[in-house]
Amino acid sequence: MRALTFFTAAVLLSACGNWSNQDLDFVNALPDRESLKSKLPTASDKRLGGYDTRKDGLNVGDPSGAYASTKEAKATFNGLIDSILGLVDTIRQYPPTTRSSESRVWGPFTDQNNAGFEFRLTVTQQLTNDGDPQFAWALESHKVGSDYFPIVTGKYLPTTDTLAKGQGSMTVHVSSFKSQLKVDDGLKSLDQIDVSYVTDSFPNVAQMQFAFSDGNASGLSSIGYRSRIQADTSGALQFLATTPADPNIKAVEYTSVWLPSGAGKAVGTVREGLFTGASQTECWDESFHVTYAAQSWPGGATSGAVKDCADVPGF
Amino acid sequence: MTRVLPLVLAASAAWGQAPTGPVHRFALLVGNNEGGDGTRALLYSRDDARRLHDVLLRLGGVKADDAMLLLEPSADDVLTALGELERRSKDARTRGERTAFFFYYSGHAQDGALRLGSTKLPLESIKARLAQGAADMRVAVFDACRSGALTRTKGVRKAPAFEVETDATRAAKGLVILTSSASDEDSQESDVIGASYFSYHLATGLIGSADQNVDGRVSLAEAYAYAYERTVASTVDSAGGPQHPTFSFDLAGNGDLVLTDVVQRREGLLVPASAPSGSYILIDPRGVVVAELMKTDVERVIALPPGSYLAKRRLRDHLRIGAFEVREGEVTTLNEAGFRDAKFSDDPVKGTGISSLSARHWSLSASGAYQAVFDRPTTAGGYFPSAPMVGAEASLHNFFGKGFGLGLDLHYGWTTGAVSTTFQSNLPYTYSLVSVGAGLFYEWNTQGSWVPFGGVHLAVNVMSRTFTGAGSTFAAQTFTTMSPGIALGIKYRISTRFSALARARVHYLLYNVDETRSLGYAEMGLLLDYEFRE
Repeated sequence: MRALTFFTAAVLLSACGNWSNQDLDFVNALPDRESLKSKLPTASDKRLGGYDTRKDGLNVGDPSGAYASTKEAKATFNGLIDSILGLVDTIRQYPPTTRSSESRVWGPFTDQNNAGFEFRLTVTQQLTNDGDPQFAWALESHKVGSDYFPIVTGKYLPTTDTLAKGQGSMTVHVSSFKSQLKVDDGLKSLDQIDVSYVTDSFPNVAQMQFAFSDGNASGLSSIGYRSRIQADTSGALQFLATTPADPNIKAVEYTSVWLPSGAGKAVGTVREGLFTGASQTECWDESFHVTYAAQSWPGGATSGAVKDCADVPGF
Repeated sequence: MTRVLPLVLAASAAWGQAPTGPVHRFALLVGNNEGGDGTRALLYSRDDARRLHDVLLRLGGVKADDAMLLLEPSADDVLTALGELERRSKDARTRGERTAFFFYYSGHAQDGALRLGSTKLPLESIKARLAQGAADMRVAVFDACRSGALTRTKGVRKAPAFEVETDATRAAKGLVILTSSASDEDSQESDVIGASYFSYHLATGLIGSADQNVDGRVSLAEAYAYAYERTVASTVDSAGGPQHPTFSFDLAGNGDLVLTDVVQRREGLLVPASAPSGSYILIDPRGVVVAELMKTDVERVIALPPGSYLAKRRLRDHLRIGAFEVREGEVTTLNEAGFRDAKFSDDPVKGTGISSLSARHWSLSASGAYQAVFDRPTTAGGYFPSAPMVGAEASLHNFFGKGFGLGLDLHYGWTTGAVSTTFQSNLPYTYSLVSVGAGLFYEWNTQGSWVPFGGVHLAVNVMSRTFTGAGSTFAAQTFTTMSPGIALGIKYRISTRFSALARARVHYLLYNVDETRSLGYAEMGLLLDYEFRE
């Protein structure tokens, strides 16, 4: 009778679900790839004439090659963000598997691409040395029965009372997992990817640094991307590539900036190598046509007036 | 009536005239709606027993200490009470008092036994006890038998008929037995009058309607003759067929048994000699006939209990209707001259519409409610928001007996809001709630215009919230919980079938994800109800 009473009481008072305010904070510690992506006005956003019939050259009125390159760089940057955070974003769509007062764990889940492997995502709340709250998270994998090794680890400093904003960083430990898990060729040439972001103040900043393995086929040592977005959606995308094996251009930096209208400016500058200091500037208008182009090296061409370049403040 | 007269005359001949000395009266009244396995719960047996109990105490000379009213007793309970009253009766006789004992049973009977819940009391056994009883006069009334169709009858399973000995030649000195129906008939309950036909007419007769010789007293013979005539008339067109009460006796000595004195209490209605002759129908506020009398050229008294009534006379082409009130301890004189003329269509006697309220029937409701959660606002860290709701409900009234019902409901609620957490403020969300519930309720005054009700309710609440705006990447959250609660409300009948209800529920709400907390919520609702009744 006592058991029946207990059972009845248990049924009457049963409750279940994933209704959790705390989960929202733990999930918020995971970077949201959409908030980190570069946002460049594109042809689909703007009425663009002649972009598909671009001719080579740096003449005013031609479709802007720099804009096209910036767009490609943005696509590359965003694609990398997708690659790094795709799995994290997928996992965050599900409720945590395990809850404790200081952590949430999703998984372990069976790795469909790597037989015998599992992965899990752990988010832990902790305090910094200054006593500020901080979240640390780790996407890890392991062969069942063995220890976990890191795939991506990160930290997030929340900003109280500011929705979904904060400062974070993460590291993709390519060298840790590329020998155990199936990875594409692009990753095989890398050792590590470091990402950092600031979303609690403008400009929002996201930057990535790719460290290549020694002796990789591309000859690159590292590539760095930096995306900045202002509140008015004006933005900048910057990347730095190093090619130590090329004595002429060991390091080159490209910086594109644009206005909300789409008009923008791109500057490529050799930072290291025989051609250090050489630069190429190209400006485009709201329809992505060249308004000014200049090459700094001897014999380089110039077209248009520099006053026709878009002025993008704040970068 | 021709069948009744010989019995009445025989009884009168045996008893002669009224006794000369005072009679110490005892009464045991039993009402059992439940008859155990194989039977269907009756609706009015307990009410029948209460009604007879009240009449005997008011008018029958039975002191409260000498009467026992047993509702839903077991067979052992009945035998124990019977033994106690027999003992008292024997003591009274020892003191030289003349004694009378009145036994009344309303309930199921099947296969030669009274069915008292899950227990049985063989008829032979109870008859033997009554036959050997200590009282000088013993009157036993059995209102029991099988089930019917349109009107509710007693019992559902075909079985040998409920028989009470009608052979008046067997030696059982001082015993009179009345039964509500013949051995091959069902005894029927009526939703129109909210009682069994026989017991209702017997009680109506005892308050004065049966006073055929207008001497202010109702004898056993008069009561039976009245109950017989009215029961047959009431059931002749029923689906269960005509019901013929029976009467048997085995008495020695003389003197009629006066069951009630409608004059001595000096409370009720006096129809003066000057009032027009003819039939008078007395009606209670529910529209139910509580007494009938045939007025001649002498005054008549009907011992109505205190309350408000209508009196009706039916003339050739119209009605005469008047209201009157009976106050405690007073006799109200009917003033027919103050009656108003009314069309037949304005007859205050209600049909099945009113009294079928006490029958088992369904109702459907559309409801609008507001659920207020006992928690902090979500913008201050609370978990669940308060929300408006709409829904539909189905109720089965009188399912477990008169007044007791079962309800099922489905509600949908929604709202928008924002939640604040430790590190985030005003994260917008849309909230929805699906609530499926079941309840047990009891309705008081089921036949009135205002029907209070209360009960218990168990709801399964499925709550979900989807984050919008900056939180749109967060997974939707759900929570399912079983919430017990209580409900109170009142129903107002705005027409024959439509009612408006106001209801409040208070529920317990367990939350157990981030922490274990006992929350709760209140639901304030308004409902429009439609009853499916015959």
